Amino acid sequence: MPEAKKKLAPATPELTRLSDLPVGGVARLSCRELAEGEAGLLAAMGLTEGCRLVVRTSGDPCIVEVRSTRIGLARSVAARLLVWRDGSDRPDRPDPSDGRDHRDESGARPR
Amino acid sequence: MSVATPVALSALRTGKQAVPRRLLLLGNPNTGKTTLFNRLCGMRAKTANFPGTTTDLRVGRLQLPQPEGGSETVDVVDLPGLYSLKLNLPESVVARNAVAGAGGPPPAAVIVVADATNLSRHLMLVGEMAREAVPFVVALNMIDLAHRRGLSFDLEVMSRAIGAPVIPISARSGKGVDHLLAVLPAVCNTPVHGDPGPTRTRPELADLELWAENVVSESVGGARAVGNSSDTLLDRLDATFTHPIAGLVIFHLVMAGLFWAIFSFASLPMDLIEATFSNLGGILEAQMPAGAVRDLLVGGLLGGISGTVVFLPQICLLFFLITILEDTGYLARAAFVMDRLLCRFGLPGYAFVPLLSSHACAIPGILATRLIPDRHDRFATILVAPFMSCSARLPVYVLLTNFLFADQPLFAGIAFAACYLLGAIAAMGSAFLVRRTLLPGKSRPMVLELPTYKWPSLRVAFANALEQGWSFLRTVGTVILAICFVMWWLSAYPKVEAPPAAQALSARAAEIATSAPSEAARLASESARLTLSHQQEASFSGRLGRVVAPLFAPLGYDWRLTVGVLTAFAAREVFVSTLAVLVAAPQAAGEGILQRIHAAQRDDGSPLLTPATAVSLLVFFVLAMQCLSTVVTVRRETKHWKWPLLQFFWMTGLAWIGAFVAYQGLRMAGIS
Repeated sequence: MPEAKKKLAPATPELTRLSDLPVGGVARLSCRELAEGEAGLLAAMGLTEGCRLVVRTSGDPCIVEVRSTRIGLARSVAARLLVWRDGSDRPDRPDPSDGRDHRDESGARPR
Repeated sequence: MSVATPVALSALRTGKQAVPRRLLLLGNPNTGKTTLFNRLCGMRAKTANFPGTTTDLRVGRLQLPQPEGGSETVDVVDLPGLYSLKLNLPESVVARNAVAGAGGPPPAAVIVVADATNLSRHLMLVGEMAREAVPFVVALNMIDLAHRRGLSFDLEVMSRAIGAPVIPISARSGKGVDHLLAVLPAVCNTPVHGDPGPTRTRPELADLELWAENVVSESVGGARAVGNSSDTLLDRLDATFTHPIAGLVIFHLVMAGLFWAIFSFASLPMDLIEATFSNLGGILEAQMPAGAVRDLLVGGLLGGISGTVVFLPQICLLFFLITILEDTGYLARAAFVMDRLLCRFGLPGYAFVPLLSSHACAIPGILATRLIPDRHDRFATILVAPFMSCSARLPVYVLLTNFLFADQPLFAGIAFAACYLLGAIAAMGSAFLVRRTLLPGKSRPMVLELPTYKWPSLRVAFANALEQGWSFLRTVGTVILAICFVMWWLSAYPKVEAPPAAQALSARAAEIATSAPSEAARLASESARLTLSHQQEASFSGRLGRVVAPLFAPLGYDWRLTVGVLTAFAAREVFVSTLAVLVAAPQAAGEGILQRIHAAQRDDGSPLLTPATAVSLLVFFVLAMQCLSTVVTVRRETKHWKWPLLQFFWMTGLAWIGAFVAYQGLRMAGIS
């Protein structure tokens, strides 16, 4: 991780790198410092900007839960994902699920 | 493989036999797509090369019941798991071309398999599919699991929002599959509908995401029933299986169990196969008159087939167990453990399953590289996979380590393990080099969806084992047979008279046949061996051995060992049997073939094998590319002769240098 950090611009005070989040940390994805192909794959896997994620295992790999799916990320990838800690009022863009307060992690609303 | 819908329909109406229409199975990885494929098509899948691609896809045949009675034969294509049709990844390109009908007519319909427990993400692929001009149906898989989690679905609303039928199924139990089959004919004959929810006014991905969220919010209800305790257990399992130390220990234990199972359980069917071919050879020899045709059938055809088929149990068992491991969800975690080690040498974590498989046989290992998404990563893995010590090397290792440490099983075991280690080091070093020269670039960092832990499906594992076994037979059963014929001919011709010593033994055996039958049988057997040895020496391969011997003399080999090494280029396991034929020393009572080779002498009376020669041979066999089946498979998988030829010359060159250094180094150290 230190190597990855050396190569990258440091995270701004408001943002955190996903690799720095502790286990149980909840955050929203802000942006990805990744090549287009990698970013596209992550987005297709559900890691879209503004999505809510929970860190299940930190380190290498970093395992996050997004929309009921667990995704393992090599530390070098996690270090390039910038996230807003949950509770922050500055999501990069509105989350499509914002305003739907009763949603569970699969995206379902109690009926 | 298929024809356009109108042609097929008209052919059906006119009663003419038509090429079956095609149904595509599309979905994210780990959605149970292959389970549904097996459910629809049984175990009758074959692989086919899709037009315009270099990827083999599984194709099965289905009798699709028609509402008016009867059934229509359709081909079902199991597309690789993918996250999006739009990505520039091999699996996305293959699926995109298949959906668009590139290189052929468009499919009759697409079955999009979606995970009911994780709909919001899976619907994004459904949304992409909805933009294509192809009729489709959504198979809402794992519906039983979703219900257990307390989710409920308004299928009518969902179907209306998507613009296609939504059928809840459980591919594993078969629930709902009949309903899916019932709606398919109508789906196939439905005119293509327009674009549903997603519009083109917003950025595509955001548009799809919002659309998927809306569909879920309108049609899915219920609270998630999985509590925190389950998540805690999952977290602990994930943390343990991917831990730098605990994960590695568990990985080695699992792999040790895997290999133990393969070598233990495969030995019985392997013995049966060998015995069957041996008996068949005996019957042919007894029934057919002596001559070239009998020799060709027994020595060439049966020898070639048995030498190949004997490895089938190991290969089937390996894939059965790997599929079981994969199905439990463990392999995805293990991939991350190995990723830390492999990425230092330019290989991805995905490479560990192929490299693991190569310890049984390089061929299934190379086939398993199809799992690796990046082309450079995949080719690098293919190039180094044959360095892993396969089971065909075992007879050679046994022969030579027993010679080196006859009464020291501990040292023999260490030498055996050192052979495996040397192969792995050579593989990593070669990967390091190739990723900095021919296949530049770093391996793709691991990003992998971790499937939920679950009980494995024996049905899926059995189907995969059968399929891979058949693929192995098909690959090696064509070209390798022809090569076996050639090798047999080179070692069997030109025919020569039996040597005087053999003739004398035969005459003596005839004289005492009645008075001392057991001694007569021994003498006759010895005569036959001498004749074979003489024949081998005078054969084209024997002559070739003498011509090529100077090339191998610096490694400590005489013409016999050279012939053994040369014939082993067809298949490594031939080495011991070739030496057994070439070594013509008188046989002592109770002496086995290994002892006879150990005690054999060269033409000048010096020992055939010395410690230095044995180490040199071990190094050569660890590193050399001596398997024509593998060469053929690499050509088939890479679609070019460049790669197998590069692999052959690199590995064999490295083997020669390694054996030379070992032999000359030991001699300089006073060990001859």
